Amino acid sequence: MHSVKRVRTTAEAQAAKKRKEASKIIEYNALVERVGGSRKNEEYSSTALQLTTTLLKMNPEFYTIWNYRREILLHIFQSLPPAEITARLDSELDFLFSRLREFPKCYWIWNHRRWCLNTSPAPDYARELKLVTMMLERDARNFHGWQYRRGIVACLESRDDEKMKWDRSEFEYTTAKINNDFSNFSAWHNRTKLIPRLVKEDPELDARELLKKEIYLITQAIYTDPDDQSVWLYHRWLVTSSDIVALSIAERTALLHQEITSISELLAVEPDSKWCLHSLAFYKNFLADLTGQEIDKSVGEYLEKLETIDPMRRKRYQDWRARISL
Amino acid sequence: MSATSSTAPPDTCDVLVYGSGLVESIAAAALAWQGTNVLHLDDNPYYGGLWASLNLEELKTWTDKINNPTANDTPFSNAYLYISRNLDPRKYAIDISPHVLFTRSDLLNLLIQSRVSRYLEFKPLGSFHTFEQDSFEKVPGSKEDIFTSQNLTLLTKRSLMRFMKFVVIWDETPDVWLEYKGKPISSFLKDKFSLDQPQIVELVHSIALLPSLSSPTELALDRIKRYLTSMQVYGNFPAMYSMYGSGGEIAQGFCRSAAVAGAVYRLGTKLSRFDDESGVAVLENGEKIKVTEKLITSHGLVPGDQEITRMVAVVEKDCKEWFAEGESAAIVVFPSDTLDGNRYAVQALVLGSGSGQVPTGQAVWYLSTQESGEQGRKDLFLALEKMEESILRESTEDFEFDVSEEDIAYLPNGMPVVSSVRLGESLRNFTPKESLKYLLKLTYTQKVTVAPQQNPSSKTIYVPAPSIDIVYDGILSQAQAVYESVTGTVEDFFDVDFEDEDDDATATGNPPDTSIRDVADMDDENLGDHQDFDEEVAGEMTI
Repeated sequence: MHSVKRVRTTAEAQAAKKRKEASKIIEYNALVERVGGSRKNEEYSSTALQLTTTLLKMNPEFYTIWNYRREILLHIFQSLPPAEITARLDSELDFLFSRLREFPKCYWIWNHRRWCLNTSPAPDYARELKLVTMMLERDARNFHGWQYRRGIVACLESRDDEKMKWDRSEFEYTTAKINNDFSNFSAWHNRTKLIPRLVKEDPELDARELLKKEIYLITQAIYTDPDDQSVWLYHRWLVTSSDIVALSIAERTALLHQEITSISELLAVEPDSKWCLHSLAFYKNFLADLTGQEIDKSVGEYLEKLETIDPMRRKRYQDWRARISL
Repeated sequence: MSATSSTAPPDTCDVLVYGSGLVESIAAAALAWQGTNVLHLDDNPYYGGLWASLNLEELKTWTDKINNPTANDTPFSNAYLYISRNLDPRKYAIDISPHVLFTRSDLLNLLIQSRVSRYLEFKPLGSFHTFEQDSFEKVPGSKEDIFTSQNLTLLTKRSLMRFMKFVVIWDETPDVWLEYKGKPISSFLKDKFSLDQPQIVELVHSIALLPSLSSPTELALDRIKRYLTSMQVYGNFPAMYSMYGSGGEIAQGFCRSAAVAGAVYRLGTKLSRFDDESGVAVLENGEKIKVTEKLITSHGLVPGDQEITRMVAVVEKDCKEWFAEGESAAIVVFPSDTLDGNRYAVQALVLGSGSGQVPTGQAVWYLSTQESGEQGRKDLFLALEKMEESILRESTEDFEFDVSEEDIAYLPNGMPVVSSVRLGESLRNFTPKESLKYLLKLTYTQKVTVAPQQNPSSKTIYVPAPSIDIVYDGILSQAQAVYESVTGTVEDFFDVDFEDEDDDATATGNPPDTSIRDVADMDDENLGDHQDFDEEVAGEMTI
């Protein structure tokens, strides 16, 4: 891991660290007690708010304290005009931003941020989009960020006359993220959310053509790194779901045959690829279910091989084999 | 540093270093920090010796000097220099032995460990191109490049990725390559990874920066691995270069470090004689110095067989078309057999004004080949012509391609692409409306040099001239060998405790933010958008 400084750990340094931690623990426990007490006493003052700030800086995972913080804020807001509420929530967002930078994957911070926007009389969604773009720049695989982004875009879209432009630009955004590093479950997942909407919104869009392009794209990724699970998952969505376009059974069958051929070619050069074997077994099984024809014998061989190369899931493959009696 | 050069020299010293090239300067600094009493001389009025970067006045003098050598003491010869009128000589720094530094290399580790990096500014080099079918193709040097490439077939993508996964652990998996040890890398790549010629060419010439496809397998694997593992150390680029000049600037940094440790410097001071028996050195002005230990010198070497032909061209174009965003440098490689049957690859290092070597709106091109003599010059001129055509074409916005609809294919994302064969053809027929103005052109030959035959008990240690390689490979071990022949060991080589200054840099092996100043600046630029945002929403935080 680069850019992380190695800390020298001598016995002395460790002892000093322990001492420092011990005093921190005492400080923390006292604070927890104090905040708990003030909540019990239904204190909704600025002082109480300040105490939650200090505590949440130490431990952002303490969701009860976030709940209490919201109670305090709502109480304070009762006597404030909308403009001041907005201002207070803005500084709340500043506080949250500093917390997010430190703890980008803490559910409660993202949750509280969402609450601030929902509570604000004048939420600035454009600014939020900028924020989440930055967070995803720092870590493109932070699913909290992706989830939040979808929410923000939905709000922006609902306030915009040109609704389609948002889904289009978000689609481009996932493309850019995928081009940067396609090992990204969240980006692929976002695509599965966006594509059905694009198809629904735009009558001009040729869904079959789009499906073809997506298959082309994912095939590039599969061949580049067949060990990456995220690409196989997206591939399965493309091949088996009707979210993009309701293919006829004949069309679906043709698509399955085409993809089985393509993966078999990959298997020829990567005979020990777990995901190649797994997908071939799955698609051939799926094809048999779809057409009512007998399942291809090779599925048994794939599963047998998977038992040896993926022994952690041996029983699962055995069970699968038993189910299809191969 | 001129202050030290005016100090009167001692009449004795432990080690006399003659020449301020990179190897001698590293050795001088290491010795000075070890406690050796070092006197360091250079006959030129500037630092760097055979590694120097020169302003135009110095360059003229240098050209005259190597064309009329007084003794057999320069590896350079056959210089032809053209300089356009009305150039401000001090606005140029022409590097006579240009080199680039990979972010994973022993020299960079030493620069950081010795804190010499603090005297220097480094800039990123992320653009590597290969000349193919009359155009400059970006080298696919990462998983992302391979995934997004429009030119590679699916099976090629797979083979390339398989190779890239192997090459980063090649040294741990000898069973894969051992039978190819000493044999051409091209056979290994073809047999073991079913790679096709274009990929072999890119890997060997552009990524490994080797001049020939028959370079030994283990050497090429090591260099390809170095390229790949150098990516993402400081950002999206594998290499860097020092501003204002390469090896000469770094040498000067080590001299500065040596001076801090007590070494005495005198430039423009010629050593006339050295008596190996008595250890008495006589300077040109008659001064005598008693050398108690050793003389380290880069003078008096004997030319070897191998040579390199070099060309420098300063053009009146910023050449930003070849650079990655925010960068000011690129490497372009002309593989063997792309310039009317050239045997060796031609390498070109292109630096824009961001390098501090040329003024704004200009760029300097450093071309080199291992081909010698007239043929070498012919190869370089052909490459120059191709570069000229390419930069004129790429910087001409209203250029229309002579292609019809059937030559155009559409990518899944709707982007049109022109078939590269047709594109190459139409590019060949392209006649630029403007011409490229050359402000400077220099060609010269550089020989590999070897130490003369000498008595094992001799007090003289010879330092080889700059390698003909564009990377600094082997420099550190040469400096260590020199150090060892003085002190008898390399164990305490630059074993300096800098902790009194700043705690975190030397101990961790990670560079302090300040040492790779420009790289750090560039990162900030990349984050520019976000920084604005920071100021808006979170005044208290800084990146």
